Order: sequence, then structure tokens, then C-alpha cells
Amino acid sequence: MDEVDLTQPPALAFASTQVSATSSDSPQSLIVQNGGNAALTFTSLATGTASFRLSGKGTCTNSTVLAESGFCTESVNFTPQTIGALTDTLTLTDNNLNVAGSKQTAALSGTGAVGSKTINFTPPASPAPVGTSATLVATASNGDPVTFSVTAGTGNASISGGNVISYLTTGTVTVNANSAATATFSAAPTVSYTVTINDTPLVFLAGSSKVASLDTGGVVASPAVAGGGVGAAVDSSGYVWSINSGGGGVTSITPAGAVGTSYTSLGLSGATALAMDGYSHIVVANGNGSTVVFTNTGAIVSTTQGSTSAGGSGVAIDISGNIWVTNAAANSVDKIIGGAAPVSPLAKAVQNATPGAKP
Amino acid sequence: MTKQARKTQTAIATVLLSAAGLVLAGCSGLDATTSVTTPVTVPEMSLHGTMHGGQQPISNATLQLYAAGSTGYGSAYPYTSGSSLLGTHVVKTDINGGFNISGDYTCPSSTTEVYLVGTGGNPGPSSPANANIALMAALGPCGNLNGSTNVVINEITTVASVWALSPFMTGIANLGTSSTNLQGLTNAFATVNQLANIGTGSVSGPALPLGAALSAITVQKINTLADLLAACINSGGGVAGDGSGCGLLFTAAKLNGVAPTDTITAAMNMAQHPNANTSVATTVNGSAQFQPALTSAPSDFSMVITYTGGGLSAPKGIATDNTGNVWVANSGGNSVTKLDALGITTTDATGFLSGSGGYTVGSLNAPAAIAIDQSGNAWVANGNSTVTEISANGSTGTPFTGGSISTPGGIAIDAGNNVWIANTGNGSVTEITPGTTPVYANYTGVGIAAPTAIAINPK
Repeated sequence: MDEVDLTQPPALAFASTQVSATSSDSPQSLIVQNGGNAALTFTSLATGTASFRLSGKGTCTNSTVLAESGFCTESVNFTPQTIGALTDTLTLTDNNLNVAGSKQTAALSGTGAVGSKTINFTPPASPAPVGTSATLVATASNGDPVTFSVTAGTGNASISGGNVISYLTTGTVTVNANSAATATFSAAPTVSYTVTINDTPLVFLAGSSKVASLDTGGVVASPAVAGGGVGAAVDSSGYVWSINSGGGGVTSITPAGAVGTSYTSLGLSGATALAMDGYSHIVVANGNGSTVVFTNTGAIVSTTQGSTSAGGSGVAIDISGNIWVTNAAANSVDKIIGGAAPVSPLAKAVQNATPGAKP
Repeated sequence: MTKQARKTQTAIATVLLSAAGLVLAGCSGLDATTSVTTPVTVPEMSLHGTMHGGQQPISNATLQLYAAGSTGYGSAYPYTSGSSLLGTHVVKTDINGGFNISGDYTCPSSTTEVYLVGTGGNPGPSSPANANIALMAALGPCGNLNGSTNVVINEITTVASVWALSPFMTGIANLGTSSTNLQGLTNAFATVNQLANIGTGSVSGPALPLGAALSAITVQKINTLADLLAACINSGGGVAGDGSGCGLLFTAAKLNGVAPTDTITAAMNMAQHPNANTSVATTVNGSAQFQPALTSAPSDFSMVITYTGGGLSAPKGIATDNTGNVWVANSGGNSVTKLDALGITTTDATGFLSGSGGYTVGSLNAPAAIAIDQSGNAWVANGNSTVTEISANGSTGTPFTGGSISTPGGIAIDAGNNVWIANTGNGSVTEITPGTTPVYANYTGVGIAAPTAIAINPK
């Protein structure tokens, strides 16, 4: 004759736990043993609600077959989905006493407490230039929505589209990330960062393996960043290009003053000077007397050996697309014809806001 | 006046001495009178010459006289009739490659830049016609053409014309500049006469000033490119991939996978992409007509003209102005040299003479960097921690000494004509607001110990 032997009390009580968290005393277990002399076959093992779940750590499954005297364990986690007193039933369906569909149950109980959550807020770049915008990124620990707000300081900014901040006036602003209370979670602690809104970077300075910028009033608009340091030229997108120290590569700096892209496989060698042509191609004078022209995506257009193997000391492009290179060691100037585009002289390009463009 | 009459005159006007590769044209004011129904205020054009391929006359080629457009880069001139200034007239070369254009053709204006193109024809007395032939010669301002203008159209003049004008070209009939850069096109036309002599069809032109020369490899590049064109022109033609002279050229000159079908377009693609397929140079052998040619593939097909003299002394900083002049800071010479677009020093009235001066006004001292302001004045950063403003014509120089300038390494002008200086010596930036009483400002805390370059970013 078959018999189910419940050797442990058929009820599990869990500690009070915050919603979405798993109780400190999870998992709790029951043992099922076959006290009969025929195989005991399970057809189902389940709880009734999402707050109580099989932990997966038990050895009983919904298709376990226990031989005579065989046993397995049932293991349950408590992860409350709602607040308040919660009860459930763990139900085992088997062929107890040779009756298919027999059910054995164990009572489950626990208390769901109000949950807490936190916000992971990626600090927005600071300083940021006035007139620009940036996308804010933050997540709540439980996946709840995060909202952003701005507290004006000496400067001001606005939020649009939920997560895009537009820097309106120079000064400081506080950017806040919030996640509101819900039925099951209390509000997350607000996370705030201060952003300094600078005047637009206007004057870019290169040297000492760095590039920095000043605004029109001479205030630092973007702090010195590592990259470039030799020469500075602006392309049609407002990216500033500067040769890396040693002259083996070149780095672009974004209009806001951050490091863009570095290229080190363009045939630069002891490079000393650079200029921009009307296609926004970068023209670099090398230390071996050659001149390299490449696109602002890093494709070489031409590599021309000048009249001397001594290094070029300065380079400029004229309104006809000729490249001019000064050769300090040879007391000469080279005019290179072919491969470059006419470009507006720098003062005119600045005046018309058309750097790296044809006149 | 008929086109037939014009052709007849052309045929008798030219004498060819092909053995020496030299052309003597005996034309003198033929067809000088003509009746026009509307008054013209622009000069009539007149010129004659010969068209050669690989030093052999090309007969029965069709000539067109194109004007440069001025409504954009690559813009075509809006002809009132026909596809060139010749209107509906057909002008072809005679059995000796000779041609004569004169009479009732008129210039759009005396300053309009024009160029001559010959297409098709027979590249030898008994050779079949070759549709791939396209040769050109940049002529310069239309008003300069007259009855004594003699032009040789050959591979050398084609290479010289295409290389100098390639930034303005998108095709044979599409050569133009923007309405705001007429000067750049004018300068480019003038540069053609530095690379080649349009009157003789030979390398190295009369516009090279004293002290200037094509580099040796540049001469070889021009000859090699001319040989590559000649290998196509002196043939029955071909297409990319067929292994013929035209096929080799057109394959090397593919642009975005599309092979050209004429020699001017091939040259244009190569000038605009001088790094591409340079190994084609090795298909030219020692018996090719234009020598000396390259003996191996070059790094690229760009041309170099070198200038010396004019006070150039350890030149460092360099800047260009709105007219195409080039200003050079002579760090070794306490001077500044200003070259025009052809490299003629404007600091010396007699031309580009070795050893002559450069501007020495305004306490110039070991200048390293230079920038040109919106009015064409040059701002020079001196090694003795001062700045000098040189007026556009070099007549005056004004020193600026305030603002804690310290061994300035870079100088730039902003949209308000304020002058910004990178002080390598003390890690600061100086701003000068010029005026009757200059205003100086010095900015520190930039975070760069030794700034050497400065640029204004208007974006």
C-alpha cells in the first residue's frame, strides 16, 4: 500500500520582506518521502502566487518518481510582489494511495513590506558649452521610470523629451534624477549633479600634449585634455585637429573640447604642422619633408615628398587648392599642386563661420 | 564668314617642324575683319596653334574653346549657343595638327578665363581616328588672346592644365569656381604656366619666377603622366581592362569604380586622387617620348614647385590671404616674406631675387608664427616676446608689447579682429584688441604648460 509520509510540519512561515526583495530566510524546504511499497509518481509541483516561488534548489520536480522509501526536497523562496500579509499553498500532485491526481499541500505565509530603490545616474559632462544639449542616462534599481529635473543656479537649462537637457545660459545648474513612490516602493533618494555651463569654446590652444579651450571672454571653456598638442586646425564640423606629441599621429577634439578620434596609421612621422583644406581634409607636414593629406575619417588622399628631406616647419592652403610648406632647414618654400581643395583664408573662414570649406 | 573659310585659312597658317617637336606658326592677323550686328565691348579672340599627341600631329580633331564657369566649383559657362565659345562653328585641326581661331568669336569679358580642348581625330597621318583623345591647354584671361597667340596642345599642356585646375574641374566642359572665389581660379590658371610652357608644349613654364623650380621628381611625374596619356592617344583607342595604352590609363584613373573614356577625364581623376594607382607609372618605359620619366612608382602624382631667395631664412609660420598671397615668417631673418600666388616676392619690386629682403618693419625679431586679419594685415609673433602688425602692403609695422606676451608660439584672429596669442613661455594666452589704444588681456589657468598653437573655432 502506498503512503505519503510528511515528516516535517506542512507549513512554511517567512520573515517580513520588502517588495521585490527575497526574504532573508529563503529558501525554506520540505522533505517528501515515499512510505509505500510502490513507486510514487509526481505530476505537478507548484505554488499559487508570484510571491512564493519554487527556488529551484529542491530535488523534487513535477515529474519526480520516488521508489519505496525514496525521498526528495521541495524548496521555496519568498519574494513579495505586494505589501501586506501574504499566504499561499505549495501543492504536490501525485498518485498517493494509487489515486491519480491526489494532492498534498503545505501552507506558505509571509509579509510584504514597502520596498526601497536607488538611482544609478551617470554624471552629465561638465563643463558643457552653452547652446548645446546632452542626453541624460539614469536607471532605478527596480527598473522603475526615472525623471529628470533642473534646479537653476547662476545658469539655466531645460529638459525636453524626458531625458534631453539643453544648456540655456552660462553658470551652474543642478540636474536631478528622481524615481517616484509607487504602491509597492517608496520614492528613491534624489541623485543630483552640478553642471557648469560655459560660454562656447572659441579659442583652442594646443601644447604639452594637450588641447584646451577658452571662451570669448578668456575663461576656460573646456579643460585641457590629453591628445594632440602640436598645431591646431578646425574642420567644417568644428572639430579641432592637432598632431600628437612626437608627430606620429593626430587627434580630433570635439567642438565642446572633448577628445574625439586619434589616428596613428596615416603615415605621419615627426609631424610638425597641419592645416585644413576646403574639403576639410587635414594636411600635415612631416619631419621627413613629406606632406600627407587625409580625410577627417582617416583615409589618406596623398603623400607628397617635398624638395627636401628636412622637416616641414609650417603649412597653409591657398584659395586655389595649392599646399604651401615652409622648409626651415632649406630656407625654401614648397608649393604642392594636386590633391587638395581651395580653402578660405583663416580670418575669412572665422568671420563667415566656414572653417575647412571652399571660398 | 563661314566655318569653311576659317578652316582653309587655318590649314595654310601653320608650319610644322615635327622633328624638333617645335611649332612655328606663321599666322598674322588673318581674318581680322568681321561684321557684327550688335556692338561688343569685349575683345575679339584670336589664336592659333597645333595639337600633338606624342609629338605627332593630330589631324581632324575637334576643337572647343571653353570659358570657366563662375556659379560654383565645376560649373560650366552658360553659352548662348553651342557648347563652347565657338558656338555652332566646327573647328578641326588640319593634316599638320594646326588650327586657327580668329574673327567673330568674342570673349564674354576680357578677364574670363578660357581654355582650349581638342577631342578625337587621327593621331598620325595614316592612323585611324581615336575617340579617346582629349587634350587641353589653359589659356588664361580671354582678353590676352590675340593674333600672335600661339598654343601647343599636347600631353604636357594637358597635364599642367589639369593638375593646376583640378580643384575646379568635374569634367571637360565643367571647369568653374564659386562666385566668391574668382581670384582662386585666376591664380590656378596662372599656375598652369609654371608647370608647362603653353606656347611650346614643354615642361616648366615662363611663370616660374627667378629662384623657383619644379622639383626633379615633379618633372619626371609630368613626363610620365604625359607618356601615359600619349600611349593612349597614339593608338586606336581602348577601354579599361583591355591591356591597351588607353586601357592601362583608364584602369588606373578609375573613380569610384567608374573608368574614364577620355584622356582629360583620366588626368583629372588622377590629379584629384594623386595617391591612387601610382604603379601605372611603371608601364612607361625608357623609350617613351617624354623624358626623363619616373623609373619607379611615385608615392603620389602631386607636383612640387620650390621657392628660394626673397629673404626666406629658416621660414616657419605661413599664412595665406584673400588674394592668394602667401606670408612667411623668417625665424632666421628678423623678417617676413610675402609671395604672390606664383611665388613672386612682393617685398622686392624687381621680382623674386635671391638674397633680397622681405619685410623688416616694426621690430620683427625671429618671428615664428603669422596670421592674416580680415583686412589683409599680417600679425607676426616675434621671438622676443612681442607682436608686430604689418600692413597689407608692408609699408608700416606696429609693435605690440603688452599683455604678458612670452615667447609666442601661435597667433590667430577672431571674428571681431581680436588677436589671440599662445604664449609658449608662460603658459598663458594674450588677447589684443587693436585700436588707437590697444587693449591687452592675459588669461592664465589654461592647464597647458607650453602652448605652441592656437586656433579660433567659429563652429
